Amino acid sequence: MRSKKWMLTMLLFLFAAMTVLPACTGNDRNEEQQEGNTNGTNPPAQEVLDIDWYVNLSWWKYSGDYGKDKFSQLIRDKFGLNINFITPAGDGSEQMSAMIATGQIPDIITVESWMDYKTSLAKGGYLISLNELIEKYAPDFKPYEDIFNWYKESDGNTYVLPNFAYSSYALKPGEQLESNSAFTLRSDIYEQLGRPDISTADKFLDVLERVKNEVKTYDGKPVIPLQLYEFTSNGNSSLDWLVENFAIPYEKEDGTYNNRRYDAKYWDTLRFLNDAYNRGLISKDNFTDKRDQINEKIASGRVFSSLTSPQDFTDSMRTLYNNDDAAQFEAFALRNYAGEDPVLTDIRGFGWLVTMVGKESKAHERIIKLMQFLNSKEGQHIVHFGWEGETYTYNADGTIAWTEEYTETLAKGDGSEKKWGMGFNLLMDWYSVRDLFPQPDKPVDSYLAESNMKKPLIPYSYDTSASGGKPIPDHPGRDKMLETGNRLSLFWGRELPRIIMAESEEKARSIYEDTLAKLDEMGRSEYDAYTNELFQNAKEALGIKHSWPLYK
Amino acid sequence: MQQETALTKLRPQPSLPRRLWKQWQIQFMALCGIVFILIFNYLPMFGIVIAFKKADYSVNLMKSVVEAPWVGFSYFKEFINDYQFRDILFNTIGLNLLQLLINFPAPIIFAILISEIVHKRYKKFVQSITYFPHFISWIVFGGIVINMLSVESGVVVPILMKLGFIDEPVAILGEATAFWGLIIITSIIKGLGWGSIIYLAAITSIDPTLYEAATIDGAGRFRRIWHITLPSISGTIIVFFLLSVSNLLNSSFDHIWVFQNPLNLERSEVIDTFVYKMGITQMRYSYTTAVGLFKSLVALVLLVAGHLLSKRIAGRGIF
Repeated sequence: MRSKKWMLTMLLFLFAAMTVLPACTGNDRNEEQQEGNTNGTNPPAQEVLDIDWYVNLSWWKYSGDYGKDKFSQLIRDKFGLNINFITPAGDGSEQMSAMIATGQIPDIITVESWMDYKTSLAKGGYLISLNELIEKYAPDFKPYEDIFNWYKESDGNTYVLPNFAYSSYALKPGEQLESNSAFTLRSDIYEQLGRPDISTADKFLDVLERVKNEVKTYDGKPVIPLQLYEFTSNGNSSLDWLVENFAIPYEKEDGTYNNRRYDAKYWDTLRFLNDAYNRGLISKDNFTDKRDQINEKIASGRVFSSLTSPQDFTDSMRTLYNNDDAAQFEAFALRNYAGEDPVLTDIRGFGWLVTMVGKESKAHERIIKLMQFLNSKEGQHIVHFGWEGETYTYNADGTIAWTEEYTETLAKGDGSEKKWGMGFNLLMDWYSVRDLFPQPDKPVDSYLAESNMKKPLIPYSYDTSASGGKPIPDHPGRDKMLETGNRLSLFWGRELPRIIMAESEEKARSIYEDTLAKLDEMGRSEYDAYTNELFQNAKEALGIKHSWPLYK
Repeated sequence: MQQETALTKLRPQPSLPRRLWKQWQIQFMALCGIVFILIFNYLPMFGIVIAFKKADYSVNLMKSVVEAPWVGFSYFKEFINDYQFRDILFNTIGLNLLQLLINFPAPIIFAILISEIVHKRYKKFVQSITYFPHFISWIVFGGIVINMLSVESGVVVPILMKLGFIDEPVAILGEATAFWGLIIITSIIKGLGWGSIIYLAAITSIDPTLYEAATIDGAGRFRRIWHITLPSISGTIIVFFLLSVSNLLNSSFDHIWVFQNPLNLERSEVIDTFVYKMGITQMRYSYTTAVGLFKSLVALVLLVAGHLLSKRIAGRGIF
């Protein structure tokens, strides 16, 4: 009897311990913050609030020396904020899922704009809408209307503000931007061959064959004629860019969505890759390499042409250039077998990262004012150029020139430019300042500058922002479609290398057709119908009838 | 005092709380362990209910555990009907059984070999060399291996060709059939030295007079290993065997992940990598919980089988 009672006490103790222990974590901070706030809604500037800013990129780092540099001091003195930046260890999906699951939200969150997290967080009621904040605290803050509308959730509120977004209101009339992707080839080797004609896919493959047979090696190592991105479980990004180069439309003439993978012309892209593989122009390693290995191949000069975007390999290209300044890459337009012009997506977009504000934050007013400041011309100039007279001066034409003090500090190479803390990119509006930058004076920088390298492709780049669709978070079939889409994508990723590596064109064709039939079985047509809805939704948000540039 | 001794004489077993109280220091230590296990192993088990509820893509998972609608065994059915199901199950069980068969005895053999080395310095040298890879993470170690296996610039393919094992360059990482072998070999390279430490310790504790007596009786080296070393460390071997059986279906995730690519997916997709892809990156919580639970059930079956087997053979089980 007594022993039973004792056991019971023991169990009770255990449960008490269990409930107390997890509760110990994380509560102290909130209390501190609450205390900080009781002192009034309009606190004196010297009283600083600590806030957390979560950035969903493992590699992201604050560009200055936080707390000591001029930029963070400005944030502290002008807005009364002391920001604690948090980044995830991996790809962030675990942290985001945990955040969504538990509802413990930092004051400010920045995630990639194409991720679903913004809607999940908004639907969970963890965010405060920016229109509400602006109305309440910063009525004169006017973000670009088209961008703001694009991010509108189904409840009519907008919760996020993007960086690196391109508003059509900001663009000059008739202006064409650079393309997002750009296939590149090595100028020195191309020159060596006498710059032969590469105006169709056929001719391009023949040139690659000549690279393989005539050039053979660079620096004693065999040259890889054609380098693709790494293969992932969902396929290969090179193929996504290849369909653009082969001008395969994502829209039918009647305005409905066209699944390119089923387009009659799509086979050409696979035929092209299969042919290239069988002629030994794609390395076998390409199918098993990860990004590190590809970086290494480009840096050591082994790659002749890469069906990748140069911005992903700038570091490797720089390394190569530093060893041999003739070994430069240049962009070229790869055309289909008929020699039609490519239709490329330009760098326009509705942003790279989006930033949102947690509902429970105690610093709403200060945060929205900070966001307003960072989005203003003054703020943009500070994050890009620093302080007038100190790090830059204006030229007569409005462009800027770096001061000697700044270039000298930078030249030291010891990171002492961190004292200014410029380069805070989470709310950068690149378009607003891109024409003001001085031309890079080092040849390597000038060579690698995106605007220079991609210049040849500008005539082929267009606004295709509707092609990705605009999500309908409340769509009843959304979960099921996400699931189907994921399944289709994983299955495709599994079959794609087999199609490319098939020993003959007929074999490749038959695997491709089998794959399409299997995808049909897995619910492809329903998924296409869903994608079409998102596509129409996007066109509606943009107020256009046709999106495929050639239909306009 | 006297009275108490008299009582203990009458009742040789004092009451349970009294006995516990007498050794409270030890009990407290055990209690900490129990609390730990309750919090981290038992409490999360309530989450298993979402395997039977529709909580995929849920915005607030904690809320979903309670509120989501029940869907019965539909997620289990979905997994079993998945086109990859047979491959995944085959890979998970096959790869792990193979590892048990090869990677479990390898360190034992290695420890015996090491212990037979007379030259002290050479022995230490071999030990340090074989311990080293253990301290490199799989991601780094895997990156090195990937570079070594490269068709064009690696060192492994030319060696295999010179030795006549293969006639033309093969992308080993892209061959689904080579994947299991790759996993076995790399895990031996990485874990052999470290795994042998325990067995070496057990071997050093064997009474040297046994060996001396055996030598006088005319036993050769293999006789001594067979009749003295192995029986003396059999206890350690059995304990470690049971431990690895209980861990049977837990694939070494990062090990497999780093070598996995679409070409070898057929033989490299195991339950753990599948759960990661579906659950963590796609937010399909319920589905992957069901898959994980399925894995636990299979593991339980294997565990009980291992237990019965070891009881029959070694007279010693897990429970």
